[in-house]
Amino acid sequence: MKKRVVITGLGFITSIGNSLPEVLASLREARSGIEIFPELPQEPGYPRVAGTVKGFSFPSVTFDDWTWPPQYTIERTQLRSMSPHVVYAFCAMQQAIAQARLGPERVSNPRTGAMCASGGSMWMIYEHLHVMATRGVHKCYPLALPASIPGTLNSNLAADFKLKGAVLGFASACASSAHAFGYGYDQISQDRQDVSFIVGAEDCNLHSILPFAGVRALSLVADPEKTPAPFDVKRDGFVGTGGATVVVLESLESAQARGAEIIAEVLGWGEAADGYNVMAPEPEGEGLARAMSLALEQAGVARDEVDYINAHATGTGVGDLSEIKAIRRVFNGARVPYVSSTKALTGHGLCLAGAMEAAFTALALQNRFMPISAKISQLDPACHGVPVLTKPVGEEPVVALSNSSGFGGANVSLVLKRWA
Amino acid sequence: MTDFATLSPDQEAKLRESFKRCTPETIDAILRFRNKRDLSAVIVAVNGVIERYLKLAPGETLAAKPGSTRLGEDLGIDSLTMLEIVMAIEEALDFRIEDSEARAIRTLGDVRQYVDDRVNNRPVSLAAVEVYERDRICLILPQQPPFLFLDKGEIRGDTVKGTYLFRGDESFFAGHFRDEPIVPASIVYEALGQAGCLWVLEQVPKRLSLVLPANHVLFVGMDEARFARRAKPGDEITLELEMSRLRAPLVVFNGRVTVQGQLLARVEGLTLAFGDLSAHENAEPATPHAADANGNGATAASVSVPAGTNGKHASLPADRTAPEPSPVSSL
Repeated sequence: MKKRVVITGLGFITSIGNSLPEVLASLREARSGIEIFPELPQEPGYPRVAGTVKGFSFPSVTFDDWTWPPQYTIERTQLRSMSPHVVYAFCAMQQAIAQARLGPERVSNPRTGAMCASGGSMWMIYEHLHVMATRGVHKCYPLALPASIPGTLNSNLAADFKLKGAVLGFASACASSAHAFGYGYDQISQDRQDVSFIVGAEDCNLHSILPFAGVRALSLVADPEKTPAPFDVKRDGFVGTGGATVVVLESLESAQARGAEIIAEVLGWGEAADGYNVMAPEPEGEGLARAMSLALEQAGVARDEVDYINAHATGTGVGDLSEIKAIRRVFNGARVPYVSSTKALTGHGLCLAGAMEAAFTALALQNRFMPISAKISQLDPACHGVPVLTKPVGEEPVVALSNSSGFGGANVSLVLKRWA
Repeated sequence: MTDFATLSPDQEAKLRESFKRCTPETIDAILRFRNKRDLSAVIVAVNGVIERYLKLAPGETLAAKPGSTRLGEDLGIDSLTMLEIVMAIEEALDFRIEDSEARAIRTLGDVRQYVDDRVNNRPVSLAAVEVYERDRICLILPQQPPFLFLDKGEIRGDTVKGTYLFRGDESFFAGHFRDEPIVPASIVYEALGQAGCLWVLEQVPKRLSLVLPANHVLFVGMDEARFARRAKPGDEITLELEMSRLRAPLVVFNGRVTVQGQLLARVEGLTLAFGDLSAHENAEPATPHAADANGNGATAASVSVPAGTNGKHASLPADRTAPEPSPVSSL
C-alpha cells in the first residue's frame, strides 16, 4: 500500500528571496531577481546578468572571508568543508526544519534522509587544483575535496544535521533536483523513510555560470528587466543563478501524527529520457511528453484536472519550443493547462532548478495563484494552443505539474495538489 | 632552516594576508622570525597561530597553559583542525612538518619541544610511536628470558609503555607462594625497570649523541613505590613510564602499572644511570653488583611497600636467575 506524501516545510535562498514570505511576494508580484553581475566580463558579446543571491559574499576560497546573513550560525568546523552553495543550503535547511517544526530527534533519525543535487563547486575545484598544480599537493587545503566535489552537498548536510537515513546525491544536470524530489517521494511512498529533505543548490559565480556561454546557451541581453524571456519571440538564451531550496517531504501519516502544517500533497511523478543528444533536447518534446504522461498516470490524475504547469523553459530557442510541443502532445484533445516559466524571475538554477520550482509550485497551490511568465513582450507564435500566462489570471489551481529537463535529454515531471 | 633570506615585500604582503585573522602580535612575531631569525618570536608566533583555531575565553592564552595540556582532549583540536594548524605553521615558519611528526604532537609540550628542535636545527626528539615486539626487545635489552618481563614495548617521545603477560609457568610462582601463586612486587618493579631500560637504550643515544652499550644501564633507586592490588598468573600487566628528568648520567621516571585499566602499582622517581659507571659504582652505597649478589635485598630498602602487602611482596624466590653477565638494573 502506497503511503501518501505531503510537503511540510520549505526553505529558500534564491535570487528572488531568502525566505518564504519574500519568495511568495516575488512570485505574486513577478519581481525579478536578475541583476548586472560584476563577476561576468561586462563587455559586448558576453553575458552580463545573473540571478544574484543577496546577503552572501564569497570573495575568496578562504572561508574566513565569507559572509552570510547574521541570523544563521555556522561553526568554523562546519564552514571549513563547505562551498558557497552548501552555505546556501545550510541556511535553507534551517528555514525548512523550522517551518516543518521538526525536532532534532526527527531530523537525526534513521527514518529521515536527504536527496540532494548540486554540480559541486567548479570554482573551488578550479582554485584548489590550481594550488596543487602550481605549488604541490602538500600546499593543498586539506578539506579541498569534501568542500568542492560533486557530493559536497550531501556530505556536508549529513554531517551538519546528523542525518541517519537515506542521504545521497543526484547528477542528471538540470533535472537533478527534480530527480531528487521524485526519488525522495518514492522513499516515502514505499515506506522506506518518513521524512526526506529534497535539496537543490548551486554556487552563483563566474565558474558556475560563464561556462554555459561556451555552448552559446546564455542570454547576451544586458538589461536585467528584459532577460531571460522564456516563450518570448526574441528569447536569446538563459540567465544563470544559484542559491538553494529545501523541500521537506513527509508521509501524510507522520505529518498528521505531529500535527504539522501541510503545504501541498505530492501525487506522483514521471521520468523519461529523450534518447537523442548529449545536450540538445529532442525538438518534438517526445521524451518530456512521456515523462508528463507517466507522472499523470502514476498520480491517478486525468489530463483535464491539471490546472497549471511550471515549465522548465529556460529561455533558449529550441528548449522552450520542444516543451511547448510536449505539452501540446500530452494535452491533445483535453483542456490545456496554464503554463509559465518562473525562470524569467529567478534565472536558471541548473541542479537547483527542479527543487526550487517544485517549491514555487507548492506555494502557488497553497496560496491559490499562478505565477506569470514574466518579460514576454511578444509571445512566440509557435506557442499557439498553449495558454502561456503573460499576465495574471484569477483562477485558483488545484493540480499542477513542475517540469525539468537536463543534459542528455533527462526529463522529469512532478505532480502536486493543493491541500484542502 | 639553514638557508634563510629576509622576505621580499611580496612575500611579506602574502604572509600578512595569510595570517590576517591572527593577532597583530602574532603577525609581528612571524615577521621577526622570518626577517631577523629572532628565535624568541617563534613560540609567540606558534601560540598565536594555534589560538586562532581555538575558542579561548577572554584573557585565556596558550602560553599560560601547562605543557601537559592535550591538543585533542583539552583544547578540542580534531585531526582536521590539526592539519590546518600544521599547514599554517609550515607557512608561518617556512618549514615542512612530516605527517609522522604531526601525528606524534599531542600536547602543548610536544608543540614547544618540536618547534624548538626545528628552529634550532636539532634532530626532532618527538618521534612517532615506535613499537617493539618481544623478539626485537631481546636484541636491545641485556635482560633475557627467563628474566625478561616485557612482551611488547612502545616508545613515544618521553614515554614508554609495555605489556607483559604472566603465563603462570614462571619459576617464581612455585614458591611465591605455596599453593597461592602471586606475582612478586619486586618482579613488577623489575618489569617497570626493564621498560625504562628500553627507553634509555633507544632514546638516550639519539638525544645526547652518545654510544651506549646495552650493559651500561644501571638501576639507582626509587623515591616512592606503592602497591594497590595483587596480580596473578594469567594477568597481563601494562607498564607506563614517563621520563621526568634526563641529565647524564641519570634519568628519572614516574610511572604506573595497571591490569585491565585497574591500578596495580605506581612509582615516583625511578632512577636509572647510564654510561660507563665503574668509577661511580665504588662510591655508591647500593651498587648493581650488590643488588645482584643479594638478590633483591639491596633494593628492598629503597622500596617503600605499604603495610599489609609488605609481607607478601617483599621477597623474591631464591632460585631467581639473574641475567649473566649483565650488571644491569635488577630490582
